[in-house]
Amino acid sequence: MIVQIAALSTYLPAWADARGHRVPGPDEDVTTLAVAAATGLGADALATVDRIVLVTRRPDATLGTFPEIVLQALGLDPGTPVEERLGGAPATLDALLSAAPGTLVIGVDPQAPAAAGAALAGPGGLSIERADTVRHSVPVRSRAAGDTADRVYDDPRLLRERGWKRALGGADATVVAGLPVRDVGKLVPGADAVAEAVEAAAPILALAHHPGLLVAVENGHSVSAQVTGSVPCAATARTPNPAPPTWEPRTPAEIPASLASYERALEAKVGWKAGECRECGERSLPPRARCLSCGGMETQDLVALPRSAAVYSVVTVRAPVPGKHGPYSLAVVDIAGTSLRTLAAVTDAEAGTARIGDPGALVLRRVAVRAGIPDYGYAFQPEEQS
Amino acid sequence: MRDVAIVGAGMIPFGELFDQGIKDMVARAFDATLSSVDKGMRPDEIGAAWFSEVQSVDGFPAGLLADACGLGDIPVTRVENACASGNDALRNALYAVGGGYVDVALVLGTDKVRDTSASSTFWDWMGTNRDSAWDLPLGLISPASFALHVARYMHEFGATREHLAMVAVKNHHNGATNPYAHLRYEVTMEQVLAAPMVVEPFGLLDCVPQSDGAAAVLIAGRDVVDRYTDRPVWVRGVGTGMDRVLHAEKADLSRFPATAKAAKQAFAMAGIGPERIDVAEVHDCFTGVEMMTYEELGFCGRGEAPRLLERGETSIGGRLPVNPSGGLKSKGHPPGATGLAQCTELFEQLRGEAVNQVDGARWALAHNVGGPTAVAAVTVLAGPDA
Repeated sequence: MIVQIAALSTYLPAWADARGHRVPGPDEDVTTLAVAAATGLGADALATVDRIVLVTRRPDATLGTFPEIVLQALGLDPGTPVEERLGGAPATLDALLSAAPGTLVIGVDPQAPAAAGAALAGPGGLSIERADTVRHSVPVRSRAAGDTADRVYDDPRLLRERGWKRALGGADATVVAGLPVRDVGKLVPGADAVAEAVEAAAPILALAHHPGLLVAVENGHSVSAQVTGSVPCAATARTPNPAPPTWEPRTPAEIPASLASYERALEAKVGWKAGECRECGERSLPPRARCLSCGGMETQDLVALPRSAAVYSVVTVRAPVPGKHGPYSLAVVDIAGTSLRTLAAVTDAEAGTARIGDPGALVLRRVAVRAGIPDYGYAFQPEEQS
Repeated sequence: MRDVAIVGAGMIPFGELFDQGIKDMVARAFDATLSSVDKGMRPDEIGAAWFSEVQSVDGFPAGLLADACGLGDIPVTRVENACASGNDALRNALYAVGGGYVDVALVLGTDKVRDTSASSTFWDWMGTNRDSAWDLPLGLISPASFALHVARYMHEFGATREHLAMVAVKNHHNGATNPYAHLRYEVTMEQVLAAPMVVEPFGLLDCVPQSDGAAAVLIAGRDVVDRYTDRPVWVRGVGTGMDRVLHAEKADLSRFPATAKAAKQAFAMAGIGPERIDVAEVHDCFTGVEMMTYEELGFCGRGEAPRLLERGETSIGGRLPVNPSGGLKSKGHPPGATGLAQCTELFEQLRGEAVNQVDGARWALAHNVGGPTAVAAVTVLAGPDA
């Protein structure tokens, strides 16, 4: 089966660790990374999506709100099927190779090197066709449910000889996804590697750059595909900021949660919508039962809001706040093309650098975790200084 | 409506009162207030009581006041209106006494901030002021809430951190000699500017301390005032103003509309204008708030507040001394007690008995602003010689 890819989009977080690997910000998780990658496809492409497959080795939770948040944030029909798959690079390529037109495959690596990629199956200039699948059991890297870190069987030669070498087979790979760059150079001289990701996002990042034979590897497992042609790829990658050594709050504390109020606010808060009065056109954010302009009751419909904004006032909290990482900046921003404002945390920039008047974008982020429940909303991302 | 006067006023020294429970504080403030009545007053002459308390400690507030003061035979009502509770409780009591329903009323305010652990206190108090879905999870702590206003004001009018520091220097200077003040020491401009940053533009010395305390006034109708004193302080005007609760919905963050509305009401009732005020206690929870409030109260024109500070006009000896008690900044800020402690100071000022006496003071004004800057209360007082 030949699968056509209509659009590609990749996203790298704005922060990097000491080795130069991208790491997610404290307000990013698999959900927001997936949304960030998919948003880059643009509204026209997203309008054709009728199914989402998310592939990651490291889901935010095994029970939670991933599908609801992603569908709201992307403005998709809430009935759109969303499938969450556990897997690394081979699983993502496998999902792409069996994708029907209209299927959006998103691969997310929330651990350093962190990245996310989105590929939409549909008529387009890029084609992929399955070449081979190899499967050996060499679980050098493993993680039991409930573990907080990977367990690594400490024998790199075993992994290379019995795992990667056999997974790569005799194939004349053009590009390898799922292995560190250095190992690709040793194992398949002449092949390209994906430096920005080594798990589920890697094959999509590879598609953005490399026609030829793509081999996606994990432990002793591989899936390979012949890639021909190309499509434009929307790549979002800000100049990396050095990440602080830890994002943990200086004082642990639970921010009080009302799941009931969050649930009521969700469509406006995650779908990024204001209430608009049917009688007089007045808009309110958040939406309200009584229109303040005409007094109409229950006259508001939810309407999508623009996602560009500019700072009206901004402050930086430098004192430690229990349960919050810091320092952090909070801004009241003017939402472009409206008379509305919103309060938003400043994201993807060092605290204290945003200034009144600075333009930027409102992006979906996990603004807090309360009572163990991730709380999603929009943060203000200042435009990058050129 | 008949005239109403303050015939007694008292407080306990503010501070970190770990050795006193809230019932102890209430009883002591009540006793100090009764004792301040020139010709004496029996508890059974009090016809009703209003209790200003923002955050409940040790249970049911109104019952706690009745129980601690032995006032079990009269109606007691708790008033909670954020940091404006004290002056707003006085307004409620004034209506009852002025309307002739009660001859003598007790208005007592308190708060006990230091009875719970730091992080639980933090979020408990945040919860009294924030929308659970839209701004609580962002960590809009109290100094940040006010700093969003002050930062915008500084941007529009060119005020600097030095202007804010002038407020701290002035108020600490006044409070250093006030035996009831929490922070009885002077600070220099250099110390204020070098203090650790809390929320830009506020350093630690731009912020109030967390204080416990209690304060009260006894008010009486004109017909009975003579029984208690020959030097009453008349409550000539009261006002309480509101503003939108979400910062994103406030039309102009360089202003405090709630204060302007409260002042307009209070001056109209008193039949005077701001030019008649000889001394004022202004809500300086953060230094920049006092500065901006000069304009909302009509003490100067728009954008002129920094000039008042530069010229020392609000220092003792200046044209209109503000916060001779030390203000919230030095005296401390147990929210429910704050407005009544201001009235206690002004009761003494207008009778010529204050520690930092303003010569010849005849008219005085007390002001609170609170919550998410969405409520303010103003009281206009006239001395026996006015």
